[in-house]
Amino acid sequence: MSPHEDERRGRFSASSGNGGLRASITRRSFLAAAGVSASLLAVGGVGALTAHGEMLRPPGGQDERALLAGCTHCGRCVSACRTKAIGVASISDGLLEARTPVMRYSLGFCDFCGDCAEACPTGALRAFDVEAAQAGDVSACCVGKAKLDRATCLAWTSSSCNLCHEECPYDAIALNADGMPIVDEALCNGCGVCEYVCPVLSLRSYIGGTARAIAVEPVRAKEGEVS
Amino acid sequence: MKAEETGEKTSVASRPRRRRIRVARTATVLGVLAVYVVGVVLSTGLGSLSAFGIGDIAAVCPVGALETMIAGRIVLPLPLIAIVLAVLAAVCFGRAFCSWVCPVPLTRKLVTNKRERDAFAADRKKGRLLSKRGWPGLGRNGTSALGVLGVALATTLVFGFPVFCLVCPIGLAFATLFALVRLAMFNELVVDLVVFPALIVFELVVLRKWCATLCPVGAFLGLFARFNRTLVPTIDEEKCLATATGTACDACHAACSSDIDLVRDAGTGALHDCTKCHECADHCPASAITFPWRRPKASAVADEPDRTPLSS
Repeated sequence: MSPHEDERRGRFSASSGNGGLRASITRRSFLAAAGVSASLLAVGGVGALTAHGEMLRPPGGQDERALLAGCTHCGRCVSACRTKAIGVASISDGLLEARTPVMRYSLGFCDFCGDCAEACPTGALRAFDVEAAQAGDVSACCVGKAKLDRATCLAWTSSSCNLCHEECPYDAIALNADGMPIVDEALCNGCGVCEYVCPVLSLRSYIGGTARAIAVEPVRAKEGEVS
Repeated sequence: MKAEETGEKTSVASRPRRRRIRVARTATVLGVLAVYVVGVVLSTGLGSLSAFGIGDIAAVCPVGALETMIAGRIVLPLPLIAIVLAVLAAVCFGRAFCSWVCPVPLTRKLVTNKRERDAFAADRKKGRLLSKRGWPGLGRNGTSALGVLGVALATTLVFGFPVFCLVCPIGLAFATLFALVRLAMFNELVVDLVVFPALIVFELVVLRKWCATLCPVGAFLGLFARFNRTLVPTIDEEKCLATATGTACDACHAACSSDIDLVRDAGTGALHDCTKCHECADHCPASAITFPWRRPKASAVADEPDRTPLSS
């Protein structure tokens, strides 16, 4: 046997330093692993403490706890949305909320096709009855409720607009005796067409900001009222 | 001629003899990223490495699958199947994901595996290694990474959301690309464009040996890579300078991003960390290393437990 064969059988060689079975990590790796573990604990703590549950979620994602537990931030729901209504929250919305799907009704509206819930492999978005939701059954799926800001609404301030009433696919916005739009919350399922068509930002661009006169807001499951 | 070349270890180690595999690796990684970007732009619903598929059929990252099921206290078919698929992939291809699919090594260094190699070399030089072997089946570097995986799953159980997925550099790499695409498509200017890359850079600069000693995805794959028998780097003992002529070469060890010494790590389980990057074969001055489809029966392979008695 040539001498270098002893080198190869390292575990029997006296020069290996440690005779028997021994965990082999460097001090540095151990410290790095401990540091990463501590960071994970910190991330978990910060995330748990700062979660606020005020995001408008895609249909099927109204259970905020299930969504935050199941979302792997893969972006399949965002990609699957044919009306481009789903976007992602930024890290400025919260550590836990970062990269989770939110509705962006300035870019599109929801037609309750169910592709997003179908695309989600981890149950963050749960399946819902697509036909019932598209027919207007609010109990089948409700993204949120439309809320109208009378201070900026063109109709309420100058009687010059009826778009949300005309475009609402579920006839959830009626005109009162003076011809001003009022949201019927019993019929509203949060599809976002009203917000999508509202011209306030273009016709009133001087007021600044990014909020339209009518916007869908999430329903807080606990209190059952619009936030 | 070759003996003189091996006298200068560092210059041999830094001059790969062939670049084709390295180019192929870079191409596959960039290809994965390109497919992802196209999927986002065209709204195909394809997804990222966190979860990808078509329609309601999707695969999920095994660590993500574990974390989401633990966080949601629920067992779901798709994540479960994804875990099984990942286990099969680890058995068939070892940790090839790390070198051929994952964008993190590419992010660190586009051309060589230098950062981790240099970090390992520094440890060896300063005598920091506690021993040369790992726990049986875990490989030299597996212990700390498994610890990170365990803590990731435990914190997920405690807090009820996937803790590691929030900071995973793989996820952050795709998230950065995603934010860039949305900036291009919708003019969405968000602080994420700065925060995510900064986070990745911070993680990879501070944690130089991320891939081999800390990454929980790699740790998960490594658990099952012990059963891998295909494409295992094998030394031709008649060609290898160390085994055939007793020359102290060390070129393959110096080139390896997982710090595997093909000559001396026989029977230690170190090969479970092998990511099939091919750098050892590319740097071998004697071209003695091959990656056969099936492991040859002779125990000249650096993973079989060595059973021949010393005194023969």
